[in-house]
Amino acid sequence: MKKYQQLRASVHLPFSFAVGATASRFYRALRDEKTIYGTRCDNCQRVSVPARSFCSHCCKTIDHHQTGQWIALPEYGTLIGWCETPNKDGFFTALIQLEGADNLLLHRVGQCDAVLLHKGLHLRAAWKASAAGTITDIVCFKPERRA
Amino acid sequence: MQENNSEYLFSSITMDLSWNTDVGETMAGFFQRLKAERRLYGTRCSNCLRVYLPPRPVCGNCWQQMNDWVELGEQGTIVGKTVCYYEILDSMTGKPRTTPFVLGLIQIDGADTTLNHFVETPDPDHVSIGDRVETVLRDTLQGNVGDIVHFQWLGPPTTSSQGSKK
Amino acid sequence: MVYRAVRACLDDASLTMPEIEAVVTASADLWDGKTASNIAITEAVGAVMKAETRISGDGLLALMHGAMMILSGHYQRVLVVAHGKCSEADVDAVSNWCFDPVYQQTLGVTDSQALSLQCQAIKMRAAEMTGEESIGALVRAPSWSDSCGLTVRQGDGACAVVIEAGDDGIVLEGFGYDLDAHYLGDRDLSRCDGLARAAKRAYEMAGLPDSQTDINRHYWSLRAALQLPPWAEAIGACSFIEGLATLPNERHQIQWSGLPPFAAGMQRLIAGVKDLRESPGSDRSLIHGCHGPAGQMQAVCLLHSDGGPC
Ligand SMILES: [Zn+2]
Ligand SMILES: [Zn+2]
Repeated sequence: MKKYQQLRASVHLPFSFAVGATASRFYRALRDEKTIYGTRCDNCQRVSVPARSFCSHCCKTIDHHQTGQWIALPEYGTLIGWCETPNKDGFFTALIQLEGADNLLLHRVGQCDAVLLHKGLHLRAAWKASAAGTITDIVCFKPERRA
Repeated sequence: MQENNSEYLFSSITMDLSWNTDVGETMAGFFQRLKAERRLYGTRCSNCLRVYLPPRPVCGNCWQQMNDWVELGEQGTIVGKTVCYYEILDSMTGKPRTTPFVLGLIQIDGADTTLNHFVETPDPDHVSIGDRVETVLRDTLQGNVGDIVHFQWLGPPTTSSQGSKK
Repeated sequence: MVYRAVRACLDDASLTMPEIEAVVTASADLWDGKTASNIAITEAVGAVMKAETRISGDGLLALMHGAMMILSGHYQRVLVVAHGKCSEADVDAVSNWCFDPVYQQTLGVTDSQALSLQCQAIKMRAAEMTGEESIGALVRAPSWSDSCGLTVRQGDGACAVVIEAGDDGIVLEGFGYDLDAHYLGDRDLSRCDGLARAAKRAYEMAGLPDSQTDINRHYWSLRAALQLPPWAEAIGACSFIEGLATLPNERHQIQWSGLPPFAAGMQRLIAGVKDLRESPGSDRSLIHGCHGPAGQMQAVCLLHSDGGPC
């Protein structure tokens, strides 16, 4: 096999993305109220999580000031799908159905034995002690026993 | 009811990515020749006879692969320049370069295209288009872009320095 | 790599570069590790002082762009080139940067995680519909169970084709594409509604009311074997259950040995054209392309051969 000369090119670029008014409110609520918010579209009534600035089905604006369109969702739900191989940090990327939402929350499950994972498993958010206003303020969703 | 908190949040992510970029046969050939002979080489199109420096594998004008290597001179002419007073990161070192410094488009004797590189001079304000420069290579060549340290400013062309190089 | 592909393409078409009026290229910045990754190939694709457009997506999108240039009536002959590399970058790290920075990227989601979520969703849908627990019991066709769970490797490659105005030989009869939601939680990953919409657009453009009429072969840009049943369902080739039981078969061509990202659709197109050239009579093939996490973008091209020389 022919050997080629290679250059190692590395980039180390710090970015600070402005998440926008809607995601700011969503992350503030995670940090300050430990609450996951979804938004309801006035037109199609669909509740989407995380909160959106517009409905992706109807293209209707959802005002980030309008409390009526902001729905506090429970911090528990059921497991719908997950990656069968764990990530480097030991968590499994997962899709979770929160009660009251019409779409799925992409997050991760963990703090449990992988063999326990099955569709419909009851999960509850595990919060980080010191919240920073990012999605990882929820460490993961972990299984819980529910009546 | 209105929610009127206007604290805006940011998502801080650092891009930490690396690539092993294959330099390609042409640039590898350039570096090998530079290391072996301490000489700059260009590629020549057998159709339009243009000599490319930096060397390219394909002549864009003729859409033809170039396989002829041409030995180039040690000196060249500044065909474009700018004096930088604003500190920018030197892509070779990742550190700011002391200002002011001169960036030049340099046409090496024997080449038809130009290289952009740093022009080292005691007096940045007196560098003019048409001035002559000399290639400065580092002492121990490693076979990569860092081998060309800069181009040393020589001054306006004199009869002895112009056109005498092959 | 790109030059060699273009050279082979022009030789095959018995054309010279001055006869090419415009060039469309497909490539991806992050994967190549360069910004505007078409800049590095301008000379190689012969685009110096020509109308060049770059598509950041699968090569089939570049093909459609080229086709639209011709349909506009302003161009007669367009070169379309796609290239992709996997060998130079950490694909997982790079693909994380393809997700939105507000939510999914910060969670650390990668391309392979999205694919894994999709395969699992397909498996669970299969299990629910058939009542079978293990995927081994679900898939009965021997060729299929061998490849079950198999993923198509990604590699390096470049592909080039020339398209020109005309209506004999092999004709691009119809094409369509569709972009599904970017956020994975908004999609039912066990289905592929985006592909169904893309295929419908292609069928309508080709004037094929009964979608699967006379389509003899399908050339798939798959990343995993499990994608085939729901995707074959989306284009109307068979039901999901039938797909599980009977796929893959000779009507559904998969390149198991590997495909380059962003050039995959073009590679399938070239494979399809080569087969059509050898086909004696009237023949029709469907070419599939996709890019994005869990096949977010879906593209379909329909090729028809009248059996004549081309
Ligand atoms: Zn709506
Ligand atoms: Zn030339």
